[in-house]
Amino acid sequence: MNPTIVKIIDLMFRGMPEREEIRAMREELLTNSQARYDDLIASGKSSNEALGEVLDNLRGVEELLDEYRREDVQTSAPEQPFAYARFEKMAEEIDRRFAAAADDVKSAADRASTTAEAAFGTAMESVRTAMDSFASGFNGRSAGFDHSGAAGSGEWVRSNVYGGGELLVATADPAHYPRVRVELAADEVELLPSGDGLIHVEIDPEDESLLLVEKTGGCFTLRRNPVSVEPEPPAEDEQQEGFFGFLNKLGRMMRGTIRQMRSCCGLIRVKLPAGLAMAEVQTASGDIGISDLQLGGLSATTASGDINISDCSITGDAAACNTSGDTDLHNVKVGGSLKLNATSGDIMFFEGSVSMVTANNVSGDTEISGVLGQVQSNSVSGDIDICTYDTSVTGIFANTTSGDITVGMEEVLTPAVTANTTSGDVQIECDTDPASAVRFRLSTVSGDICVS
Amino acid sequence: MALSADILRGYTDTIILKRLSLGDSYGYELGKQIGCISQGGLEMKEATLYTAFRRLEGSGLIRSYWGDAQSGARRRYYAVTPEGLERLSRDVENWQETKQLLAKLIEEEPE
Repeated sequence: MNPTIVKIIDLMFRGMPEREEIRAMREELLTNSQARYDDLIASGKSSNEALGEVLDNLRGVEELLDEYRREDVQTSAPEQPFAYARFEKMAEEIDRRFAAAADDVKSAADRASTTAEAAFGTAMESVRTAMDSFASGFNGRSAGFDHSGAAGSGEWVRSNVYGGGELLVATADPAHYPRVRVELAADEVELLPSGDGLIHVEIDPEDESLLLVEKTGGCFTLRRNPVSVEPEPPAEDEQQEGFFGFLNKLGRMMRGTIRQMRSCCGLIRVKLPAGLAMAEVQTASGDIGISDLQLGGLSATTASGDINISDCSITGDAAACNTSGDTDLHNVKVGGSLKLNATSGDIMFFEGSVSMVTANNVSGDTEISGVLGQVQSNSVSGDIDICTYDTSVTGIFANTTSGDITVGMEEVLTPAVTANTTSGDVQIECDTDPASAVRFRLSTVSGDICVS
Repeated sequence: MALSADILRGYTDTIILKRLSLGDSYGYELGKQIGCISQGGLEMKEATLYTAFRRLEGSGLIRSYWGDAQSGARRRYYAVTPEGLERLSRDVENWQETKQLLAKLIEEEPE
């Protein structure tokens, strides 16, 4: 038996009821898949190609298994669809207990020596820091995007299941799927060019969790199947009451959280052929890297990861949204409009070309340079730095509350400049013409303005 | 191919009964034969075959038995029952009639 086939079948049957009917089905699918694999290998296919075809042929089996699962669920108590909600509740519970336990420690320390107090304090602090980071990781993950479709309320066509064990490759023909969507949580995502004109998905060889591929309505969607982690049974020493009992329980919860997080943090590589109509990537906390692609449209969204886009050419519109991570675009050509949004991260657009760019930031800095048409940039406390390489610029509109605004021009231009600042300095080092078609409207409350 | 895919789907059971009437077989082999004979025109995936087998077995038209274990797992073979053979011959008759009727209705009439 090929171990990967056994693993794939086992992943599909995970959580299935132990019934003779199910065991027989597993055995039948296993021997059929192995026979198919052997046949493909004998015909000269590579192991990865053969596994891909085996997987393709198992399409629809998940739905069959779901029916069996539903039959069983009807007789048992309803289960929470995802671990997320459970973990969020857990985080609240941890916070509540922490406050109570901290009070306990304080009153105990009043009676004990100061060394004991210090030791407890340090231990508590380190546990709290760890919990905070896990909790924020989770909140980011669950708030990042809507999983309701996956919960069974919407259309969720599971056409394939890919499991790890060795590097597996999912392929699709872009002629049928001109749109590609990637929706993941803590995974790092890379979009790279494909060498053979097909869409490829590559998974970290260490990754043991499931990815779901949905192929509907011309859209190829890749999602992480949230893994429900079985809670660890309480150990005997946890039966004890009081602070130590609590610490043991806390440890168990943390181990569960770590297992859960580990199961959802891989590196996913998606290789795309040139000329796809649209590529969309969403992650909650993972980084997004996109390079050397030619696309009709592009959208990248992450809450706390970084976004790096380099050497890409987009014929239509593009957008990058980020909350706390940095957004860095280098040598990107956008034919349509480009929207860049960030909250506390920096926005950098270097050496690219775009006909219309809108950049919104709160506390991060914004730097835009290249062949620019119209630029609209807003920020609250971040600085705005814009540099145009040629005479194609038609307008620069920049607003900030406390940041500085700097506009640089590499070619000689005589723009119409309106610069407003309440308490800052204005410095204009070029000729201006109020009647010019090239308009710069720059305004800040307390920052400085410089045009050169 | 949209129309023919619909027609083919309606004959899944008949196709399986026909193949099994020529000899016992197992899922992968049967699927492969169907793919070869139809020159790739009809592909039956695991899920389709599995549901059809359960349906046919449930109505007593086929029966299954396990082959010898090979490295831990056994192959499940299927055989057609006398009831299955009866159903097959009725299905074949029905198909002949349907085929002639459709030909009359949709093929071009000779001058």
